[in-house]
Amino acid sequence: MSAPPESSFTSSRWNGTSVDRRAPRAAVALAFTAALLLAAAGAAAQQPPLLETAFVLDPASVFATTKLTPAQQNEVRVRVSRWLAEICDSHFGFFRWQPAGQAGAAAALTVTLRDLRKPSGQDHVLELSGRRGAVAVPLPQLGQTLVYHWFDLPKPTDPGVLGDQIVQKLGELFANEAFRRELHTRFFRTIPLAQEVVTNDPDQRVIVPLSWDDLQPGSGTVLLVKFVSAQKEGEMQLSQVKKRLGQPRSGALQAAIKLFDCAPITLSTLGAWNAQIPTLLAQASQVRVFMDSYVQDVAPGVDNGLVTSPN
Amino acid sequence: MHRTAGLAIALALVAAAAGLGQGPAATEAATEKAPAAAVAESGRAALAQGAYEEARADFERELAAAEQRGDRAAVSDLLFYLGLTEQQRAGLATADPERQRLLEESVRFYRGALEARSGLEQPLGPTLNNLGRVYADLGWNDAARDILKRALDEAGNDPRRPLYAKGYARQLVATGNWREGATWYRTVLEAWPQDAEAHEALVALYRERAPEELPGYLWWLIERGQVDSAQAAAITALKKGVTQEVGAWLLGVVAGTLAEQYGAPDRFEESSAWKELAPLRTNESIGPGVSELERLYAGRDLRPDSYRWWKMYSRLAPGEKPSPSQAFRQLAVAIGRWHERGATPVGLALAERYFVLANRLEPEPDPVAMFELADLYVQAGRTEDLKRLSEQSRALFGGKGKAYQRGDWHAVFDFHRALGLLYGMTENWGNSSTPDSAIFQIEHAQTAAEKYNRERPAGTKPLAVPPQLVALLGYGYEETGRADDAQSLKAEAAAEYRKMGDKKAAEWILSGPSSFKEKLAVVPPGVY
Repeated sequence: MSAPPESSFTSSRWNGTSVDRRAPRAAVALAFTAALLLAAAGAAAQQPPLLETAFVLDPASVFATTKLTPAQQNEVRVRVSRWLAEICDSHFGFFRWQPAGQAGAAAALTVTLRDLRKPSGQDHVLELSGRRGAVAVPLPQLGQTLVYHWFDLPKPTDPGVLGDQIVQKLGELFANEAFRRELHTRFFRTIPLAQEVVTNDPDQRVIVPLSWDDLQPGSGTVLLVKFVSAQKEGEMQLSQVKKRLGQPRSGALQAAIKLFDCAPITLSTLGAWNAQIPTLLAQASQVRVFMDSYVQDVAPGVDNGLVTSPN
Repeated sequence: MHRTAGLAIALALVAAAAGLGQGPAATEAATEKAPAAAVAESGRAALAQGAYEEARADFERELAAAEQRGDRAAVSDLLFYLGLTEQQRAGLATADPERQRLLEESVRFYRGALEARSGLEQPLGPTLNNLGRVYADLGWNDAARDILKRALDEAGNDPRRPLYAKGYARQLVATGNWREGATWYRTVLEAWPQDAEAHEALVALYRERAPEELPGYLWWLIERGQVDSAQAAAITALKKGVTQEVGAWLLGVVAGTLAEQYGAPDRFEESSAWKELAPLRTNESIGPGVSELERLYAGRDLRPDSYRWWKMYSRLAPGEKPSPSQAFRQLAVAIGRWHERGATPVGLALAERYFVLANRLEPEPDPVAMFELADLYVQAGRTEDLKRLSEQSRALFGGKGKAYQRGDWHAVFDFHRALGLLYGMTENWGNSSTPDSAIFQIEHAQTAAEKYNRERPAGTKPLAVPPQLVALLGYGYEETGRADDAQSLKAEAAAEYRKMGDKKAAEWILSGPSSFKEKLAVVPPGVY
């Protein structure tokens, strides 16, 4: 059986208003067709978790109390949360992203604008926080980002101006590699991407049933898998994450073991394998796959400096 | 057997591409075929899995079919895939003659693909890129450089253009032109700031050929948000050993990156940065600087005299990038801001000590630290401290002069802004020709912002004089009997804010910012 069209996985990211830079919104019909093909092929590539982005104006903030009407506050909320979904998608594209307001999100990233009261006036700062399921994830390590100093007067009462300035500040934050690393380490790395892995014994590879086209992992990407097997906790790191082209699970992630630790098996050589691994993983429960380190493939279709498609 | 058949077909197709042996009708028909992207699906799957024999057989079978129907686009694509197959296979060859043979065969396929493509509206970049890589692997460096230059020239809007640029940069270096190669690597990093290969190649080039340029490059990287990468490269170079001056500049880079990173200062010793830096405490030239970093984070001794190493290195890094002492000041301010954030009495007191350290590290005050201190004093209503700070600000003129000489309008703006606020807060209005006055300083802040905005580098944001400073200047004019100047200033500023889309700021300036006068009240009149 030949591999399903590449677009099937790309378009599987489509989900209402969620952000997908790899799937033009005009491709909805194609997505539907492709989904049918995918189902027919039995290639069960799962979608990565859906995360939502939210922007909150602290109700005690001057912007909420005196500067903006409720409708204007909503305008800023929509603008910033949509922008956040886009920027998160461009840097953390291993999740699906959508602005808050729809059901089904596994986790959320929230930015709050609040007043910081000083004797001389009020600074206005942005704070980030997370939610994983129903569990709040405070992110104090990311600190506060000053949007307006107390002397930056007057504060805008135009929702467009306020939205632009908040987006500009957040843009500076997301451009900083150290900020992105911290956000990933403190939050995104703790959200499971998948809860299943499959081994491919002949190739000595591990398959994660997520679409490669959805995640577009570049070289340097590392997945962390935690599991319990034979009543023992185990974990492994996977690297050399590539797109699986053969069946079954064509289009899924396929990776080599970098580290494996589940007593009595310990491996620490890239590409190492042990004949017991397939059985161990087949019997495993509580499997959770995390994005340990993500390097986005900036030039899809390039492998080790070679372009793999003529067009 | 496959190989022979493949070559025969390829050569036949190259001839076909050149229009030999086929009538014009066949050539025209070739352009009407289905998109070539659909070809060779099973061959590509085999290739991706490293099943080279299977892939090659598949491609050759499809190649024969494409030739039969005169589909030049498909022919070209299939020759490309055959070239790629042999190229990848060559990468696994253990014996040199076998590797050489596979590479040469790959060359023939790629050349065939290029010729078959002649006259078709299809990109050449992928084929040229891969062919350039084969040439490089064969040691034909000049030819590789030229073919990769051609890939670059023909790339147009091809999103893989930075990839071609990277290949070209590598070949420029390989053919002895490392300087131009470095420029092209930077072009790659402009487009793909996270490209580790280009970054590592560039760091290696600077380390080998011009170590004194490495700090400037790393500051360039910091400006593009690649803070962690710059820090890691600086620490690695320090560990490998550099001259004393380059070492100081590199440690300055480390201080600059620490100022941009996250994490509680009181947990610095647990950070990965410190784990890398700590062994360098014994280094003869930079060891004292590393120990002083540790002292800075500990926060127990923040006297400027306790940071002699950093004071010593005030020379700008190449490329007009920050000197080690400037970077250290940035770090002290960043740590101070962290402590200020909690707004606790202990935190504020500690923040003040960090700002004072940054301000007094060198004889010339630091405008950013001074601004932070002024803000802190205004908040707390500490008018005597504000007054003393204002008196100290005279020393800023020396620094202002240097910034003017460098044409660093951002720095000039920072100086004038800090001075304008200080003089304004103490109601020392003065006039347009008295440097130690609010009017002079704010007017010059405006001029500096205009000059900066005219010349600002692409991608940087424009400088704007905060409405509060404009209001302060207007207030100064009114207080010194220049009501007409106040009126025209407000009208011009309001027009400017409207142009920027900030109608409310425009209205606020025109209506008279009464709330600002209230803020001024924290400073009793007549302190001067």
